[in-house]
Amino acid sequence: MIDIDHLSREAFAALPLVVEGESKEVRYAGNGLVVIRFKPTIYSFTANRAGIVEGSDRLRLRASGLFLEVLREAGVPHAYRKVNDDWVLADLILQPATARDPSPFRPTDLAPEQLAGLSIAPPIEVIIKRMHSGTSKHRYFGMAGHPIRRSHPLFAGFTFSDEDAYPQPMVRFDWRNPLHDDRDRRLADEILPEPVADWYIDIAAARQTALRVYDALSEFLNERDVVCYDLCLFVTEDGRTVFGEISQDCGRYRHFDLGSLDKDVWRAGGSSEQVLEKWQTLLDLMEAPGAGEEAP
Amino acid sequence: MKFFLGTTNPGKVQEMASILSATGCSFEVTEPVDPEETEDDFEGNALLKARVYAAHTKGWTISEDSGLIIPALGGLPGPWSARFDDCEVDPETWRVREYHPSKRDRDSIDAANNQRVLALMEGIEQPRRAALMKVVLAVASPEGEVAFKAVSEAHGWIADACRGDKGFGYDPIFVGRDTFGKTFAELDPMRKNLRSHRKRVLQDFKAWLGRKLKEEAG
Repeated sequence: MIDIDHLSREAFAALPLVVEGESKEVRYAGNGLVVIRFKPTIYSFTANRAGIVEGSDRLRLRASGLFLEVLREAGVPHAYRKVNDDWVLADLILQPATARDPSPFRPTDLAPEQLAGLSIAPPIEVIIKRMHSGTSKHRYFGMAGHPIRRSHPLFAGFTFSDEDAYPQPMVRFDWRNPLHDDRDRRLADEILPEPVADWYIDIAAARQTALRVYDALSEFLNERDVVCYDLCLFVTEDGRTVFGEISQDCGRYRHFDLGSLDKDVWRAGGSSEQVLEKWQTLLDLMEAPGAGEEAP
Repeated sequence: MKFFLGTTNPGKVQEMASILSATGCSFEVTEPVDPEETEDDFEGNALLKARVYAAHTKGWTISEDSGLIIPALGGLPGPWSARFDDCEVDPETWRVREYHPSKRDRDSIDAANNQRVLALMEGIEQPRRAALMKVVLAVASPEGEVAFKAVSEAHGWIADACRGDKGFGYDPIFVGRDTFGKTFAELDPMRKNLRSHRKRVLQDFKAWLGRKLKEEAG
């Protein structure tokens, strides 16, 4: 098995390319494993702003490593096997052949039955939202203050305000769009009706996986007085395994006293130094013992 | 796995359902049974309720008894927390002399309970305004046997007036030790869940449930 603690950039570049996107480069390491390089990019669709922020990749890697440990302890399967300051070693997740990409990467060193056993990446982003904020607040105008139906088995009559918590975390399935279409028009991810999302991902299993992820990470962050407002996940099409990055870049985080610790500052036009500072603060909090925990 | 929530208090239902949403279990509120709480402490009442509700639902049932304890009032409202304003209290001994159920709705009795406590606490200064919220959670099997029990307390003090419009019960007058001077009713539900005594017993319940599901899976 490849040793990512002794992997040079040159050796990485020599590995077969699986896929390369705006924020990651994935290369095949053999035996159904991949090595992932995080790129130091930050992107905000809302602000239509992208940039390279040197050092952001390392902060994301460190946070990913810590979150991975939390998920392991909670028994939530994740395709990431090991994370260090430069690379991620992970299980290969296959992209299905589609009309737009009829020949996605397929490893040649695996037997057909091994290949058939690999998980598939759906074209879906799984969003967990805890608070009535951001896009939901704007799209669902008037939801704040509207009582939940009287016949609801658990939350009859419950209301919430803008920026308040929902009665329980809400899981949403978005269709993943590329940044631009074929005519170079900007595209946003689109919320899917659940019956449609279920064509591409087992939504019952994925919802449960997403809630378990959110629950485990929230508990960990809550001990550090941080509230996770929302989280964006990639889950395999069987709904059982998380395979994407989980870091400062994949959610909104607020500290009780320090405020926002995510890329809101970037969306608002702040500098790359300000983003790095926020992400470093969140990482520092994550690395410190939480309330009731003993220092290592 | 399905659990019945053995309570008719919508505030407790919401708090429990919110904290337990990631368990993958389904939850259903029981029909009102309202067993007479004959025990003189939270634990006794929680176990009693769990057994009575389980006998009614014939399923796994989560029940709890909780309330406010104020040492300066001899431990009252204590097990009388939900019905404190309907109680006649001896101000010398802090014993409940008589109980006259008023059949007021939940919001009315909650508001009256809070005013009653504030009135009794008038003139009492810190540190004697110390108080604690206590909860005992019990889970009974379909056969009515108590399979799990957990106890938790949140420490704080009694505010000098009702503050905040969230939460339920004594939340408007209870200031947590770690809520930066805010009453529980001033915290949004998520932050309250972060701090609440009920959250801690439900965390213990989740750990127990995880082990149980693992055992059952073989």
